[in-house]
Amino acid sequence: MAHSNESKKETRTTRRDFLKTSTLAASAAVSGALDVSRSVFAAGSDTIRVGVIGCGGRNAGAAAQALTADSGARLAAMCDIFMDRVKEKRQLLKEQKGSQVTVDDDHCFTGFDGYKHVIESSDVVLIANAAKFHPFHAMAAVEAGKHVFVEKPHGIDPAGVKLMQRASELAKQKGLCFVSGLHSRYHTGYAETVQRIHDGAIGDVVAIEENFLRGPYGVIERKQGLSEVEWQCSTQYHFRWLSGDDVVQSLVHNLDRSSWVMRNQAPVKCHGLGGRSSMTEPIYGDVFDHHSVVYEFESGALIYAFCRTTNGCYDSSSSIILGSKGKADIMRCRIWGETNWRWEGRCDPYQREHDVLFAAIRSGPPVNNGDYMARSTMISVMGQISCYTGREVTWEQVNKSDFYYPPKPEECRDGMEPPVKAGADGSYPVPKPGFTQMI
Amino acid sequence: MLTWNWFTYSVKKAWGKHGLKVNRGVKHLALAVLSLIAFQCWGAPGEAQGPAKGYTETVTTKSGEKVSFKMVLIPGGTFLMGSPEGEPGRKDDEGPQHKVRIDQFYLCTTETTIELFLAYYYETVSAKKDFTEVEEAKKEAEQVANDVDAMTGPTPVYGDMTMGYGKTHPAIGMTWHNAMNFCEWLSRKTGRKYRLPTEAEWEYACRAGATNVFGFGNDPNQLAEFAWYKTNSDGETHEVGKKKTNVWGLYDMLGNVSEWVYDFYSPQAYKDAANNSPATNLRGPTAGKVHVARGGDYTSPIEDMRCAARTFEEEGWRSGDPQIPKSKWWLPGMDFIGFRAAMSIDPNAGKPNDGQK
Repeated sequence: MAHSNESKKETRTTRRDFLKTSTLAASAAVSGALDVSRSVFAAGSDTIRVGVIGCGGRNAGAAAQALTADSGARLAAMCDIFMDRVKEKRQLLKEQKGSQVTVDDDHCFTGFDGYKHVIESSDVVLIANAAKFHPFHAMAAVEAGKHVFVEKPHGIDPAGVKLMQRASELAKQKGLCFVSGLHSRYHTGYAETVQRIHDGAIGDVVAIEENFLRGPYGVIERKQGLSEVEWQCSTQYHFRWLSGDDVVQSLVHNLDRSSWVMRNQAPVKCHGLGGRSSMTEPIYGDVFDHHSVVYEFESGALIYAFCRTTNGCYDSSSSIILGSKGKADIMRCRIWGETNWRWEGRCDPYQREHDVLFAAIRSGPPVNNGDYMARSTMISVMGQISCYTGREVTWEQVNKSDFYYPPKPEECRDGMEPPVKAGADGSYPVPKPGFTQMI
Repeated sequence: MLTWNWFTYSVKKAWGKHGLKVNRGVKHLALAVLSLIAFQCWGAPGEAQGPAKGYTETVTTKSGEKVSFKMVLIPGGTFLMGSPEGEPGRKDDEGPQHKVRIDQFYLCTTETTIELFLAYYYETVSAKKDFTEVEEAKKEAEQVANDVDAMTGPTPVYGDMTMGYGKTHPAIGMTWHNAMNFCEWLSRKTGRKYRLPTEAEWEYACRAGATNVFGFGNDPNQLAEFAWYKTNSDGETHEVGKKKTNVWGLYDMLGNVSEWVYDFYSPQAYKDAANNSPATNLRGPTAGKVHVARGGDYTSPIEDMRCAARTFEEEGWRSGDPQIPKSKWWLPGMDFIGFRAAMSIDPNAGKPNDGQK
């Protein structure tokens, strides 16, 4: 006997109603009745065309969240380096969102230029592809007058982060929304915990321990017939020129929370260690599998930040804040010490990102996360560079640098030569701390 | 290896409740039997008839550590499943009450711990992306039966599977599919047939012969002696086995974490079952989208802590996974859902099978 989720919802009031609980979601739901004069789409139309650049699991998820956030949203265009990913995700989204998925074959695009066509066909662009392209595609969308949701990291190198910063500033000038996938900021429990720290609940922040220790990114077997560049794109988390590696790609969430706790300051300097000991086969590309970075703030407060992608080791995902009068665990939304407190609630920050975005598109004012997007990503970039070079890196240095992983995103062409190539043994060259030069 | 003291204690505990005394002769006889089999029983293994009242299973992890848990015999019988109209906090899907006959089986005295679930995770985790269905079917067909090394295991969890809890806390945040896969792993590892309990078995074991609201009685003021729930949990799961057991020796049936059971959820299930009452060993609807979880958890208010209260996978349980398709293995961040293992008894053997297939 088949039954649906709908039937149970009718018969029960569920205890954990994660979705649609925030007032923002509620306002999005009624926003059809609100002023739409600000919007870029045709007067009288309540349809918002959504385009996705990148058709991996995350952007398919983001598309579903966008369509959930706003009943007038329609998925209108999609692109990816690989057409089979576009078609697969379109099918999955159709199954979940039905008539909200209107993208036809003529609006499925592929190749390095696919993004242009998606931007043309959309009012809001969701960007979650290889992070190398995030700033470039975000800038292109804003220049075309489109609202943007863009996943973290917001650049993989100093040049990229600066471009993202310029894109966010341009969005501000144009009155466009510019929303970041650094989801911690959209978690109401994290927000309340950070607010309490700012209000003095643990005294002065002395040190922060950041952990993102877990198993590796999914490994994909190399399919027959892929060119070297296509292969690298298909497993982009394992190539530095596409993903920026793990400090930038993942520890950025932790560093964003740290910076938030430190009242949106940046550290003055850092030193990092890193290497690879388990992910050494060619299939793991040219990234490290463990990193640790120590950051120092003007006040003397320190962040000890760790990430690892290895199976069978101690795992931890946490942001622990040590203060002069107590301790806070951001991800568990708890405070101990002079005051003891815990948040009681549930939040789906991924959904909230889109609830906020679409509510703002409908009824303004525009939401723009550019400030912390750029700072938190640059903090991760300086840490990553320190791990690769083995040298201390200052905030000033990384901001002066225009380093980028070649080729520039705008120079990427279908059929181009890969920027990194395997050696005779099939493995790719990796950075060598003490020898590698970057900035 | 268990100590003699523990064995004596267990025998007393298992039998004491039924008013029986243990004498030295039984103990010696029992010890002789113990030395012959791969696991430790308690109860009356020397008396030829009937399965042991309980046994301890020990699993050796990949790194050579031993993890043990205890299984207790749940006697067969017939009970009234569901709640009577008018029970405070009752929901429609808990009725109508209907008779179910349950064959004897073994149930773990505790919720599956993080320590044991990590042993499974470390042994089976694969960095490979979830295969497409066709590829997966092919792979499973290639797997040699009973070969633990060939098992499909979960993909790495996004974040930390322990969510910061210690080893003796309940394992959390796994999908029903992952809990089922764990049971398959445990079965291959031990040679005994582990599985999730059915919803009927779970409620039968929770009630332990009682017809009242909580199993121990109807007084919610006593709940804190037996369960971690909203009022006393301080917003966290707790180590398993720290509260009082029910009369059949089961810890934390109510509270701490909700427990996956075998059945699909349907609000209609009890109405259908009532039409076929009394049924034997009910297994719930034959198809569905989501599965049932029972017992309430550390966040539950009193009404969700009743023996009859049902919950099931809600959309929000997948909200910690921002991707599409969602992981078939993990419910990231959902620290209120776990499970405990059951084991079938071969009706022909009349005792837990000895691991020799």
